[in-house]
Amino acid sequence: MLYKGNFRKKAQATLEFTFAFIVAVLLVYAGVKALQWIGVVMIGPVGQHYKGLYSYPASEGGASTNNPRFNPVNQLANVDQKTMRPKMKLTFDGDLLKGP
Amino acid sequence: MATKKNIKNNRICAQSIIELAVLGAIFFGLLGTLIQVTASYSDAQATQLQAMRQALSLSAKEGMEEDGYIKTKHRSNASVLWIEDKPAIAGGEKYGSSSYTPSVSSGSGTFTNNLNYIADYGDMTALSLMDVYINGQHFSFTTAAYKEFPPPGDSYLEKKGNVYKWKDSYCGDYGARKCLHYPIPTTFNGGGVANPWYLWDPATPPSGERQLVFWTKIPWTDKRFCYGQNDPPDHYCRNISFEPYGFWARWVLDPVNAPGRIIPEGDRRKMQWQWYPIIAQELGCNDGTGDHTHHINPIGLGFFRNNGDDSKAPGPQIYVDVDFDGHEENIMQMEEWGIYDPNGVAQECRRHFQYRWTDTKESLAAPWLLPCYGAAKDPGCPDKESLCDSQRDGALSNEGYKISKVWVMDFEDGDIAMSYSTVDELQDKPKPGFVEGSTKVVTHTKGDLNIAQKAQGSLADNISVQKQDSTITIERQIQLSNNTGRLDPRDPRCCTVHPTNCNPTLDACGLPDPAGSVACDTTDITQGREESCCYKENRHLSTCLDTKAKILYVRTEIEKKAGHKYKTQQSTKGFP
Repeated sequence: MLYKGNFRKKAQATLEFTFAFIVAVLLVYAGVKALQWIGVVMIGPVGQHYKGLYSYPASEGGASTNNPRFNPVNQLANVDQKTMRPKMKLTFDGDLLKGP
Repeated sequence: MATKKNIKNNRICAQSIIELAVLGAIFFGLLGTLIQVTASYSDAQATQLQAMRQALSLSAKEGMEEDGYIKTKHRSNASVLWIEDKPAIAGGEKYGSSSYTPSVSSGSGTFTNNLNYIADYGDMTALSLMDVYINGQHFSFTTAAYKEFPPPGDSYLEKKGNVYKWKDSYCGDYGARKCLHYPIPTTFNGGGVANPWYLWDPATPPSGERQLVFWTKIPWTDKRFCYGQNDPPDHYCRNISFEPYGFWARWVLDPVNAPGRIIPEGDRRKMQWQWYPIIAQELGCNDGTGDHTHHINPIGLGFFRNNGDDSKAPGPQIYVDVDFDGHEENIMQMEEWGIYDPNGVAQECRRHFQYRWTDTKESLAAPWLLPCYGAAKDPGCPDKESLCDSQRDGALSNEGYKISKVWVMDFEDGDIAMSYSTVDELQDKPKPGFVEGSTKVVTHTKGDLNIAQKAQGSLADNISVQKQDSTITIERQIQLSNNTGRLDPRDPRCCTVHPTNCNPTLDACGLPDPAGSVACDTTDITQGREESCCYKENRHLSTCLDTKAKILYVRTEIEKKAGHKYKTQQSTKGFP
């Protein structure tokens, strides 16, 4: 019983340290994740835009040197506007407009 | 038992927890703000790219005749304005977003295979369109229109005796700047003659008749900018003191609002541009020597003049102010009348010109009879060269052909006049485009707005519901320059409503959805304030055109789901 007080103090310090460490890790994780989200959000539209345009094959009418089947209308339509913004479940991504 | 030591320990613990909580809150708040800002930026970027793709796609569809489009010049240079109201995150909202951030972007795209499409008078497919998308509603606006001057049924000329004379209503007044005693240069560029400009004597103008003129703007670098009676060739404003009879009018830069304000002589050489009168007729003739540099009148409209023929004369002057509104129109066709009297028998002659720049040789080899217009002159009447001969030989009983009518493309007569300037502002013409500060957000309640809670102990299911279902209407006002009928669902010119009345492929109707669009033309006075009819009789939720004010009210409905709160769905049957 002599060391009861010291033991308690040690145990409390360990718990507090662990708790604080977990919180700190969570904060760092949240920070890294948020920066990752920001990066994804910022690059999202441009990435989807070019992905849609460049993934359209020349055999289907995509742009390439002297392609007789070149069809810019189809190539432009290959970009899906709905996927322009990445699904992050952070911001509303539904459709509230009732239409014209 | 709370000892002093325990209390001290607890305080330290509490302090660290509070610090952690506060710092954590700040940290997460910052992250949230970052995400919000970047999400908005991302939205704006996506919309910008979408506008650009849409413009490119529209231009390409018309150029390649895809998706039901036909080859037109509507969107050779497609211009798209894209507006979307996106849900935004605002502070303190627990149940979802209820604010909207407008995202505005524009794009343009050119598909080049229609770039040199030729515009003929009346060809609706040659009119450029501007496309505006507002929350999915697609509007198209024309930026020009075809018009004839004088109006249908009228003419600049009337027959007096055996000659055609300008009507007094068009040529009776100097102040209106429609007619002048026009100076006639003997040669355009000197040509060995001391005076480049031969001027009519103001005291004795030939035949006493004024000449109908149109006006064009010339820059100060133009040789004609300022010249005087005794100026040497290429004087470039060294002598500007002399003003021929009535010719001061070129220094009236605002003829609409200040016709009496003439730029003082000392200031004229500082000006950047002036109005320059162009004789309202097709070019005159050569002088019989075959040298086309010696025209009787080289400063007429000159539909068919080009540098191959007249290296010393300016090109065609077909951009002139015909209706005296301070803006130049593009003359596309014109008609001239004259009396031909070679054998003592007067014959009324008319000839019709159409400006169409094709091949240089073609336009000069068969210049006056264009195949698309058939007979450009009455049978038996002189064509250009023989008219010259007739004039020179005095066979024509009057001064020759005179202009009776012009057909123009008027850039101020479309849905939206892009050339709006101070001249229009001073004439109290409305400034076209989005009306400043007119965007409104109106919330309308719909469905239930009640708290239905039955008494405890009721045998019925006790469902307590709080709903704030509502509809948000976002309104924008677009001021039109003219009511061309394209945005009025009642107008028979509107193709979408009356597809049989016009060619739907011309895209002549600018409205997206006639079922949801209305139009009206009254303005009520409510409590001393003018209120548009677009706010009356259930029109307040629809896209609506006020034809009196020429304002298009574009309205978007948005479902607002914020505020749903379901308290309980537990039965109270067994409640003690």
